[in-house]
Amino acid sequence: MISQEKQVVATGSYVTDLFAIFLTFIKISPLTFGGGIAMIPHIESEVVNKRNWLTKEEIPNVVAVAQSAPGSIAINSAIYIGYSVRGVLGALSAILGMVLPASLIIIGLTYLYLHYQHLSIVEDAFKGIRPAIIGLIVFASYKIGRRAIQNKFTLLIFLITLSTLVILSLSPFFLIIGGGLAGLLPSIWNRRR
Amino acid sequence: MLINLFLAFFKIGLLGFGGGYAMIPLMEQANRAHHWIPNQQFTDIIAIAGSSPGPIATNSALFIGYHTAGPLGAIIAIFGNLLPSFILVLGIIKTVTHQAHLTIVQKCLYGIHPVIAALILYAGLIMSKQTDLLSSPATAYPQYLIFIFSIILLVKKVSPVWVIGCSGLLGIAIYGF
Repeated sequence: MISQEKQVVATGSYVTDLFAIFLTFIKISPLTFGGGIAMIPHIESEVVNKRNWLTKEEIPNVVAVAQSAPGSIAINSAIYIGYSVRGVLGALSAILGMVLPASLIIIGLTYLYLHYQHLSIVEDAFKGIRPAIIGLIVFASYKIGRRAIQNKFTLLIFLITLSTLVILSLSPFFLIIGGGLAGLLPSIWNRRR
Repeated sequence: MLINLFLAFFKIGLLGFGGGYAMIPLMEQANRAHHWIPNQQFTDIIAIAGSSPGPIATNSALFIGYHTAGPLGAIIAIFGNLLPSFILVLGIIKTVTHQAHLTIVQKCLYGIHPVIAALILYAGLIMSKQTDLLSSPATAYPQYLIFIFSIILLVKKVSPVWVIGCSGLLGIAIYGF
């Protein structure tokens, strides 16, 4: 499903392509608000329609791999596409484009926050923002949960995890590995029957 | 110090199955263990990370790294956070030539995603405790309203940046006057 020879799609000279990858992902980077999946259509319009780096048919592969590997979906898609166009350096250019402008903005905001966090107007704003962030996180859990909890088995995993966290405050490390092993159980069970 | 920062963020990146928000509970837990930034401040960091372009996890990693060990700390935290993605995405492209291999990964994810949903929900609970959202209902009721307001906006597919911006203005309007 995923072809091995990816370097064939390169369109210009090596350096030009790396720079084009970098620029493309600078453009995509601000569109990651609201989580990785939301930006897939933007990636498609930039990478498929405008640059012709990938075919439309390859986009579901990008999504599947980006979701299978850990980490931000946006970053994972960038790595996949950058690598498809120009190998490892292409992947690095894509990451850099994704992260660099955002980092500069974050550094600016961090500076402002650390200097002005005790101003009363900033404190008041954050009093309002904190519950909204909780809302954002609860909603993120709902969005993942809606897809993940498909039946009694996955609901059971969800409930066991939640109660383990509340009662034992176990490390997420073991819970995630446990979840991965539990995910294999249904197919083992079906094979034995 | 730097090596611990790197290892902690590598672990967060390695276990963050399910996108950027999956890494928030892992960061929250690591922050409680390592005392990088005050627990109450963690929510503020997520607010700043969420209202900037770029992935929310990388943004938070940058802030925490910078706050803990300066510019080098920021680079180390981001590098540690991105390295697992880099290795594993390239690993999957290089090795997975049959649908069957990806199927095993997806079977594991079938069990992992409900865990991630629970972890994120639990992080939301912890963070609402840390920001006194659950402590005093009498003084906190505007915050409950903002919480519900934000959920409604998010369900209506309003961008998180606007949700954060509006709630900040509401905070100023409610608490500033």
